[in-house]
Amino acid sequence: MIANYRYLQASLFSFCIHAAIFMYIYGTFDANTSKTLLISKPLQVELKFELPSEDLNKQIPILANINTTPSKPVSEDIVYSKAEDEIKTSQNNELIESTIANLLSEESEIEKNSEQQEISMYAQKIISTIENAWMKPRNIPEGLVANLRLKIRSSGRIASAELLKSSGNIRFDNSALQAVRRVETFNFFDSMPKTLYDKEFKIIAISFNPS
Amino acid sequence: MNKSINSFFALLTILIFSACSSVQITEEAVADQSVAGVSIASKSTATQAVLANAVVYFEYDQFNLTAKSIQALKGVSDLMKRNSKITISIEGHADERGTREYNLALGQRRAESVANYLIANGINRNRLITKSYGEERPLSLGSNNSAWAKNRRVEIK
Amino acid sequence: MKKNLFLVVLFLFPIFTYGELFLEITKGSEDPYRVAMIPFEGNSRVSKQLNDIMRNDLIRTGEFSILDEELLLPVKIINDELVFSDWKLLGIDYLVTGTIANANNSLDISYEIFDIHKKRKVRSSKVFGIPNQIRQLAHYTSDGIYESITGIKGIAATRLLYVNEVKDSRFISIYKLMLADSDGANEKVLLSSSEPIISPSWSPDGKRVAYVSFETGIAKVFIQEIASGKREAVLSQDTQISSPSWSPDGKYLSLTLYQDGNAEIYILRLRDRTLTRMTNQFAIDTESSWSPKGNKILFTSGRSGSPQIYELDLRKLNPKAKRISFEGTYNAKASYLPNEEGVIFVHRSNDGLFHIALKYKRENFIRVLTEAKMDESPSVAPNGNMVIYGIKENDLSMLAGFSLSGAKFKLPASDGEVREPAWSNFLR
Repeated sequence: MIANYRYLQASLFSFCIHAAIFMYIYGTFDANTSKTLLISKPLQVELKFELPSEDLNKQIPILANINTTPSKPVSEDIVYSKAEDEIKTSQNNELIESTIANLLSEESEIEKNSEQQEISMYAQKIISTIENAWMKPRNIPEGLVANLRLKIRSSGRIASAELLKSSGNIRFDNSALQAVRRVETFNFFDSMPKTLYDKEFKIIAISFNPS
Repeated sequence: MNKSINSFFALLTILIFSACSSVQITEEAVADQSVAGVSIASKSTATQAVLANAVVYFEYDQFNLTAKSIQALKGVSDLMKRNSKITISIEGHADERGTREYNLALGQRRAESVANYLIANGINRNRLITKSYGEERPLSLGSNNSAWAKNRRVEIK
Repeated sequence: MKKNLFLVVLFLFPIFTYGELFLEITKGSEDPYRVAMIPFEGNSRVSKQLNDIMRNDLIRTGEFSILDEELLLPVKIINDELVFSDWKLLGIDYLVTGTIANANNSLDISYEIFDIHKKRKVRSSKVFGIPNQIRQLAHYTSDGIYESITGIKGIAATRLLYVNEVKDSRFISIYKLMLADSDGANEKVLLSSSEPIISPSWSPDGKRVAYVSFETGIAKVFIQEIASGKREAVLSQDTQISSPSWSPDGKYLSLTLYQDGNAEIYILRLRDRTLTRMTNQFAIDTESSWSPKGNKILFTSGRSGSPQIYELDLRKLNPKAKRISFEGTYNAKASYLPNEEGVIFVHRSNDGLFHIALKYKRENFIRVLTEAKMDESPSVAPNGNMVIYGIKENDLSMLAGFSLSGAKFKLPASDGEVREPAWSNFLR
């Protein structure tokens, strides 16, 4: 009798566990449900770029085509027109040269700024995508930091992710790698200009730092 | 029925002993604890009654004697002075809360408190055996204050 | 004394397999690896048993979520390559397949793990043994899968010690020291006694146990060889001894002796039974526990007025106890995490309830990890990721456990009550 009751008990439990697993999987495959927690936390994922050294000389050939290139932001238009006026009105070569030199550095400043803005925007998107996918493991010591290096294709697909610096805690390291695996592809990369991609986003380093 | 049970156990004991000659289950007579003379079991009924009444209770986490316990122990002290051959076993207990080993040590401290009182009253240490059962021998089952209060005790036998 | 011998019935050999502790998993983890396990090819009965055991093992770790069997897809192979896309659609991280070869007197289990994101096989392995070792082989396989995916060693193939108490109709108790697999299966009785048994402790090589038995009328520590059942008292003197803990090299046992009526910590060298006293002050010192590297001991001391956790550095010539718990009025039964990064212990919170807590060495606060009322006797798994402990539910003592990642499970007894669990080392 006891044996039969046990079987009944066991099969009831088995049913409950299967039902629970089934519901668990269906309930949480939707990536959006449990993410509100993460968004409200302060920045936990930072982007650190391996920036190539700045080279103003590279930009000068472009600037040499000032008159011919049509698509420039408004401020540069103003600069252009100013330059043209100055060139027309001025008779002094030295004056022209120094003015042009100033204009050139202003140009590059502005270009740099807008590029910085673009980089910053994409960086922000990368960070929030990963943050949304990252679940910080429970009961880990404070102050852990793990750094990952990601190689990304132009399509935004993450070709590889490796641990640059271990936090010293395997579960924490694993959670960072898991987050990146789940993301798989940064869909917004197809709106990224190829030049920007080539320069800044082929290889990036990410720091997971929940403090 | 009894006879066959006895012989079964006798046989089992023999088997056990023959299989494990290194096992030492019997006690050796060693300094402090063992006492020559009158064994604990053979006390008069009257004596046993006095001792059975002399249960000492303790506060949670505490092992010091209360005024009430000292009253109870006076009777034991007098009894032992009247019968100079009696040795007693003082057994300390604790309630179930907290860890088992710490409770074992706490029960022992409680037994020692009782022993120390008797010693201070002129009873020879040799006549006192202290031991502890920690939370392993509760008098009252149940997880409530009244059961716990009953279990925080020292019994004298 | 002779009288006691007849009353105490001792089973010295692991005789029967009693039954099982029934493993209930009550909570999964939050960010599990999603794994699909295809029942291994081969004998269908063996395959099902293997599958059930592995699912249990992996879910219990708290790091896995195993796809329900009804949702499994057929494994598609095109041009010798596994088709990964279907699994990706299901949100699976890893796929496990395998085969069972069941010949004459051997059981071979080969398994493969596929990384769905990376679209390739990441592990191929094999375990083999004999048919009646199927549970053990299943556990080895679970551990192999666990370790491949998480990088952490698995504990499915480890074992537990615990004490079982059964009361008969006249409320007379029989106490048994039990040994079982980490999932509660394969229970074996190591000792059966009419007197209490407490504080079981594994030797580091998993071959012996030390425990406290009251069979002689007082608390005494015995060492017993698991395979043969041979046992002996650690000291022949008739004095109370308790709280045994093995050194990691198996050569020493730290103990609590009550020589002058007060609990103090001693270290016993097993080779020649020499005793070294480690504490000497008026308050209770007990519950010693060795560090995994063998150069420190944790213990519980009442010297500050209430039970707190202290640490002794054995490398020092005159080791001074250093207090390491400062929160609350009762902290006891501490043991180190295997990487010595922190300690697990029993903590009484302000409401008077006892819980299992964790304190990392570098931090100055504690984390309470359990929620019932009288949690006790925690024991840490050798991979540092799980803890088993004793709880009381509806007045019945049983075992419960949790993983640091948040999974929970329970192990109630099939008969009576269970408590005082001790988790073995890695046994392979």
